Amino acid sequence: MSQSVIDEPISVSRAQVRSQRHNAWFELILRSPASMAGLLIAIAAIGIGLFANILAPHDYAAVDVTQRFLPPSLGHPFGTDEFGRDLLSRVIFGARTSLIVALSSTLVGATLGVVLGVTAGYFGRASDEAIMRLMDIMLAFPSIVLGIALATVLGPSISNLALIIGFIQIPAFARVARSSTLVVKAQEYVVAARTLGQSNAGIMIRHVVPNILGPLVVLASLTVPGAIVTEAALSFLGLGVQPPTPSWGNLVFDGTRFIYSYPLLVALPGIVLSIAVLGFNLLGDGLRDVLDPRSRR
Amino acid sequence: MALAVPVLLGCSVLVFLLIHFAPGDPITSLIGVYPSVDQVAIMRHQLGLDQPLPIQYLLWLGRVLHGDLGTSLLTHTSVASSILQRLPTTLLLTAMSMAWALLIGITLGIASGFRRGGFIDTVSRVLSIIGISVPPFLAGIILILIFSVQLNLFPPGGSLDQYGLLALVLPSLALGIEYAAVVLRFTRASILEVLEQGYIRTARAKGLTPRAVEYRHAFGNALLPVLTVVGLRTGTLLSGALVTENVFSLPGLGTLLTGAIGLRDYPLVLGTTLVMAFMVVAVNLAVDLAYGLIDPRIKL
Repeated sequence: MSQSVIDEPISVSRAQVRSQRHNAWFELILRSPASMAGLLIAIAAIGIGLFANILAPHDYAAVDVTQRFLPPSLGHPFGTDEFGRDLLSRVIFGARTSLIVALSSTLVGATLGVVLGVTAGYFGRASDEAIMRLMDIMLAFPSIVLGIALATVLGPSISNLALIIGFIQIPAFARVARSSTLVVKAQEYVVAARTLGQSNAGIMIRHVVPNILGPLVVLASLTVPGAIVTEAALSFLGLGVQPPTPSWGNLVFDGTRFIYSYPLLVALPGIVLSIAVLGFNLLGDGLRDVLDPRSRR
Repeated sequence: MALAVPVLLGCSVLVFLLIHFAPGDPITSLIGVYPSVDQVAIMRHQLGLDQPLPIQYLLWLGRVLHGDLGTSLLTHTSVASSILQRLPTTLLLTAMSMAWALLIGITLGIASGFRRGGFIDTVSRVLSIIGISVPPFLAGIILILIFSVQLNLFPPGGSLDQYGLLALVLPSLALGIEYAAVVLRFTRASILEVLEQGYIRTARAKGLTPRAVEYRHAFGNALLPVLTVVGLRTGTLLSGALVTENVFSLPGLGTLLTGAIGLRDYPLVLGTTLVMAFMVVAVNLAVDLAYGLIDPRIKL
């Protein structure tokens, strides 16, 4: 009985807040042409990655030495590379690789970061100190150096890249999760849940995490373009995705060898990469304006 | 401030462990793929690789504190001297990028902040979102395509000895553009926020010209948050320098590090990484101290 008295008004008001927020969401995204463009680019990029095998006009690995360095044509809209492989198909499959790495690394970083950040914020004291000092050390480390070192140790592969880039993102998520947890844990519904004898783990999963999702979504939308760039930079240094599997980073890297003789080979993947990063950035900015009222300017 | 030491120690342990568990054996890269068992044992002993890991770490740390970063496994030259030789290029590159970023970022940020919604504001918003979306290595390639391949104005790569400061123009621009975009955004936002403050209204109310309000009252106060970003981002800038150097084959710490990693030259990798981490921590500390100078209300 007492449970429903405490529970009901809160769940109602939360539902109201949520529905209001939902309306504002769509309105604000639709109203801002920049966020709209970002949303469309992001959807298009993910769609291209998902349906790469349907969309690609050729086999991305099919070598044909008679067809080397062909200029763009109807058969090969982006032309062909130094092995006569169709560049458009490689860019399309590169989208799949780059996005798999970017999205799964963000998932890894967000999951571990949230676990650490919520734990630190919820329990406070010694665990807070220990976890956050560790995060400070990770943050002080130049991320590319950390990435290079980890990639050398683990060896270059797609799953390792996702782990490495995710690992680099942990402190950012931990910090945001911690500071939001500090706010949420002082709320009445958390105090109520504790009074009712819920376990700490239960409170964290059921009451804290759902209520700190807003800032985390914003952060995630802004780390995805960062992850795309980091993947590209590591692949560019030869520590990322290994040939013949294309990723946007190693396509650009391969292209730089022919920068004088055939600049399209570096320019086209580079442009596609930039547009995708631009799209995710615009979407992230839009989401931040919607979900984080403090930053609305 | 007290955090600087544990952070550095943490970094050193992390790098030490990471590189130590790296696949590939420095012995094989030193004496070939098929060495005799005795040769390997002697070599291991000479290099101290037969000691337990914590001992290896402590021995190394003790030497580092005496300024000895060890000798390269491959070239047998002192790591410290290799780093010192490469350091000026990286520092100059970072400094020049920061100069570009502050010049472009603060100028455009002020122009768009004070004239919100105007022509310059619109242009710089577009520029900043493009700047943030083009990663430095790609910006470098684009600059090479335009200014070296097409216009033949600057060298596409090469050392300071070959071309002097000319060798750094394109790399520093490539590295600075992204940073300029960040500085621009923060300067603009900071100016907009300061313009809302009470003392600006007071300054206007007492009849100061808009120019006096903007430059005497708003400008200085708007710069503090920008300084924070500049400081926080310097680490990113240094990291970016690693990649940019590889794009332009500039002989700095970045090319030193990637080369050393490729050859599994542990002491060189450890030394370079530690110096990089040290520089980032030092810059962060300097930024903290600079706060106190700019804003006397902040005490450390």
